[in-house]
Amino acid sequence: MNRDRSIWLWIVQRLTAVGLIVILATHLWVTHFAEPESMIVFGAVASRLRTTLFMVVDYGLLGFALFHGLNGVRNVLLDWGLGGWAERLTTWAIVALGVAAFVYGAFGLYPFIAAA
Amino acid sequence: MSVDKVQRVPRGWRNTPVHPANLHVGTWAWILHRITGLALVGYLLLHICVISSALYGSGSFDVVLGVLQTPFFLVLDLGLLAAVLYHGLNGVRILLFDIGVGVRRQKEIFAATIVLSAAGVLWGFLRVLPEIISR
Repeated sequence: MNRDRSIWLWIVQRLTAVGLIVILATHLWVTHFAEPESMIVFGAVASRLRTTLFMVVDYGLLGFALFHGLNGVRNVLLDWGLGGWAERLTTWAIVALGVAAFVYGAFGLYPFIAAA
Repeated sequence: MSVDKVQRVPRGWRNTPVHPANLHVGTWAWILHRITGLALVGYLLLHICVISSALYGSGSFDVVLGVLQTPFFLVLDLGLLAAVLYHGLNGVRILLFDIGVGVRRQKEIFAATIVLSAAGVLWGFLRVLPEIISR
């Protein structure tokens, strides 16, 4: 692995960590604590996703969590001492999984926004 | 030097640095951070699939979310809460060490992450308990 790229991944991992603390705290507060008695149903989520703030929160959470989580998985895998083609294969498999999960998740949120 | 003065090298799994009894606090923190991290990635991918059930109609979403709010899954949520709290608090511990804060107090700070996580899970348990009993 190229050292320059490696240090950037490390920095972004830290930045997304800090971002996730804020976004995840907001997400958990809104979904579970703001109205503790209410069940999570489509209509309620849709009315929340109507606001720009929660579009930013939910899409931001999707991107930040996927990056931080999958980069973490890659770090765990590379600790097995992979190199050469095995490392490149791991990296591209992780990138492909991340892109697929982001696209699926992004489309998955769309019905809530469209319903509003 | 006579032969009988040569120190015996301790043998066996118990005397290796990787035996659980020989691990340092920081190593435990690292192991827990990895385990909770991998578990959270697994949860994240499942969570994306669950929320994306809305693609198959609002009815599908409500059915899936209805199942996920039954007592069995509320108890599993406590495990999720434990993983999130530990991973997040230990992450803050790592960030503090990166900027040179608290390195000499690392054992106490690790203990604090465990105590705060446990307190959070206990609080979550007390919140979930009436839901479980009433259903």
